[in-house]
Amino acid sequence: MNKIKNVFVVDDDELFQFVMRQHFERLELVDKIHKFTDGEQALNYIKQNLNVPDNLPDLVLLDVNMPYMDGWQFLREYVKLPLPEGKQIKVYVLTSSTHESDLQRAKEFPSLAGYLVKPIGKNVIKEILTELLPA
Amino acid sequence: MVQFKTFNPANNWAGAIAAAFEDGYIVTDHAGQIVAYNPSALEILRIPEPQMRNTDWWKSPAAGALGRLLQERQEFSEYKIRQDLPHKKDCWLGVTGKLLHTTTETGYMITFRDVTAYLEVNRSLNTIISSLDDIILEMTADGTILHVWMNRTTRLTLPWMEMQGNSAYQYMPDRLIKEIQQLVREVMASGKEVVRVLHDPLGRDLHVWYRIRLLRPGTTNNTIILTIHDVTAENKANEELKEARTQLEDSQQVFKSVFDYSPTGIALLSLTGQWLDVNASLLDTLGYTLEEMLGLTVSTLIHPDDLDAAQAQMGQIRDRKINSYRAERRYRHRDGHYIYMFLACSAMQNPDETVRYLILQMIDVTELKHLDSEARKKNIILHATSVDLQQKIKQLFEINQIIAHNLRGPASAIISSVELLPEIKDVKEQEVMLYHMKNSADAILNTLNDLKDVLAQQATTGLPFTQCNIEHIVKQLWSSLNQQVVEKNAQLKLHFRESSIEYSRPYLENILFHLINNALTYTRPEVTPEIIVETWKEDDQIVLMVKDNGIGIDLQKHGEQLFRYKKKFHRGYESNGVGLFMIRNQIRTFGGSIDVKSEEGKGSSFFVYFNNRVHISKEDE
Repeated sequence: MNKIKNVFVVDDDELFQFVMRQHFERLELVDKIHKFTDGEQALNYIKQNLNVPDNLPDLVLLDVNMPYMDGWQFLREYVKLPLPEGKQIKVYVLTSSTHESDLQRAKEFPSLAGYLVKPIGKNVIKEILTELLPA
Repeated sequence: MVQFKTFNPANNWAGAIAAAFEDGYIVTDHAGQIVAYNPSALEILRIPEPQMRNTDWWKSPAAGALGRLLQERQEFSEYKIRQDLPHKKDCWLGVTGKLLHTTTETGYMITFRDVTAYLEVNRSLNTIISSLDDIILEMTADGTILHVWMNRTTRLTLPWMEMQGNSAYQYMPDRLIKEIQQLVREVMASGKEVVRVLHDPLGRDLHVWYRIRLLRPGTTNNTIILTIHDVTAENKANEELKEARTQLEDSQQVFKSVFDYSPTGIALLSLTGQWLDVNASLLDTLGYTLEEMLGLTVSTLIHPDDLDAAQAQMGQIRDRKINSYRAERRYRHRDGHYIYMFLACSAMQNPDETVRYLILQMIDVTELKHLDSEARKKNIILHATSVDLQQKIKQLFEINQIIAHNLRGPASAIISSVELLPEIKDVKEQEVMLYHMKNSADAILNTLNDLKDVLAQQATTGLPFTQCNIEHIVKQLWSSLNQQVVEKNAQLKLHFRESSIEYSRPYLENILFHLINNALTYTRPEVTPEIIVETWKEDDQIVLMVKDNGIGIDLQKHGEQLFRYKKKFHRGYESNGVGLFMIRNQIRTFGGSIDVKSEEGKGSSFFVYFNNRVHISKEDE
C-alpha cells in the first residue's frame, strides 16, 4: 500500500502534537511524522533540505499561534522558497481560531490547501491523507 | 463813342468838387464802360490814366476785388476789401457802391479810400479785445450792432461779417431776448456792469455755458458793450469741483453715520496712542465716558501681556512698514475686568503719505472666546473619549485573540485527546498523554488568570492617581533587581526632565519593572549593559523612555507581535511572553500608548506616552 512520505506538524501545543501522532500512527498512511514546535524550526528544516526532495514534506499542518515565528510569518517566508520542480507540498492552516481576522489573513495565501479549525477528529485527518495518496 | 470826363477843376464846379474829393471814385455807364473817375482814384490806385480808362482791364483778374465790384454793380456801403496795388500789397479799401440815375440811363459808381492804417489799428484792437472774450458786440441801446469782434468761432458760429448794422436780438433765441433787453435797460439806467452765466444762449449746443457781460464804455455815448465768453471749461471744472465736494460731504456724512451708529467700536488714535475720538459703541463696551477716554492713552487699557505686541504693530504702522493689521487683544473695562477684543487698525495718511492718525475698529469677542474655549474643551474630551474607545476596542480585540488561540487551542487539544483516550491501550502512552493534558489544563488556567488580571486592570480605571516621583521608583526597582545588576555589572543612567508623573503608582511601578527587567534580561554578553531611563514632555504629554544596549529585536519580523500575549522572540531567555502584553494593557487603560525602536544587536528603546489629557477629561466629566 502507498504511503505519504513526510508529514510536518508545526504546533507548540505538546498535547496536540501527541494526539496527532497517535492518529497518524493508527491510520498507517504516513511514513514519517515530523514535529516542530514553532514556525522557525520548520522553516529552517525545509531550507536545509531544499536539495533533498525526499526530506521535504508532502503535507504541513500549520498552527497559527506559536512563539518565535507564528504561522503567518512562516507562510510569508515559505512562499518565497525555491522548491524543487515538481515538488507538491500541501499546507493546511490548523488553528483554534474561528476569528474573522484570521480567516481573512488565510486568504492572503492562495497557495494554502485549506483552513482547518481545531479540534479535528480522526476522520478529517484521514480525508486529508487519502486525498494526498496517489490513486 | 464814350466821352471820358476828367474833371478839370479849372473847367467847372463839378470838376473842382471832384478834384477836391479825398475819396476816389469810378463811374461806369449802363454798358459798364468807364465814364468818369477823379484824381484821388488815380492817386489811391496808382494806375496810369490809359489803364483806368481800359474797360477790358477792369474786367480782368488783375483788377482784383475792386474790378469785381465794378462788374457786379451792387449797392453797398463801407465794404472792407483787400486790393493788391502796385506800390502796396495788402491794401485795404473802404468801398461803397451806388447806382447813379440820370433821366436817360442808369450808371454805377463806387467810391473808395485807403483804410489800411485804420484797419490795422482796428485789428490790433480787435486782437486785444478778442483775447479777453470770445465775442464783443458794441451796440446801441435798441440792440443795433455797431461793431463785432470775435475771437474763437468754434462754438458761436455766426456770420459775424454781416452782423454789423443788424439787430443783436435777431441772433438770439426768443427766451433770451427779454432777458438781455432787461439787462440792457438796467445797464443803461445804472451805468453799472452786469454779468450773467447762461446755459447755451443760442440754443445750439446743450453742453456749453456762456458768461454774458453788459457794460457802458462811457457815460457820454449811448452804446453798450456786450461780451460773451465761453465758460464751458470753467463751468465744467466748477461742476466737477462741486460734485467732488458733494461726494466728499457724502463720504464724511457716511463716515460720521458709521462712526456714530456702528455696532462696531471705532476710534481715532494719535500716533502717541492718545484717543482722539471714540464712538458710542466702543465707549459702551469699555464702560467709559468720552471725556474719560480722551484723557487716557491706549496703552493704559491694553492688558500688560498684550502691550508689547500692540506697540510693535503700532510702530510698524507709524514707520509705514504696514498699512493695517488685525489682532486680538485684551482691553481693560472701566470695572477692571478684561475684555477680549478683535481689532483692525489702519493708517489715515496725510497727502505727503506720513501717517496722520490711526483708525481702530474693535469688537468684543469675549463671548466668542468663551464659546471657542468651551468647544475646544469639549473637543478634547471627545477626542480623548474616542482615543479611549479605540484603545478599548483594541484591548477587546486582543482578548478575543487570546480566547481564540490561547484558550481554544489547549481546550480543543484536550477534547481531541479525550476522544482518543479509549484507543490508547499502552499505559506509558496513557501517562504521557495525561501529563500533556494536565499541562494544557494548567495553560488554560494560567491564561484565564491573566485574562482576569487584564479585565481587572480595565475595571480599575478609578484607581487613585498620585504624583509619582520617577527617580524614586526607578531606584527602588533597581535595588530590587540587585542580583541581576551585580551579575551583569549593569549601569543605570537617569535623565528626568519631568521629575514626576501623575499616575497610578502600582501601575507605573509595574510598567517600569517590566521595561527595566527586560533590559536587564536581554543583554549581550560582550558588552556592559547600560540602561538609560529618561522623561520629557512632548505635545502636552509626558514621555518615559527606557533604553538598553542589549540584543534588540528584529522589528521587521516581530514588530506587530511584540506586545501580544505569550509571544516569545528569543530562544534561551527566561520569558513567559506576558510582561509587555500586560504593561501595554495597563498603559492603554489610561489612554496612553507604548512604542518601541530597536535594532538587532544594538539595543532597544521603549517609549511610554502617558496621555494625561484623557485622565484630566475624565475627571471633568
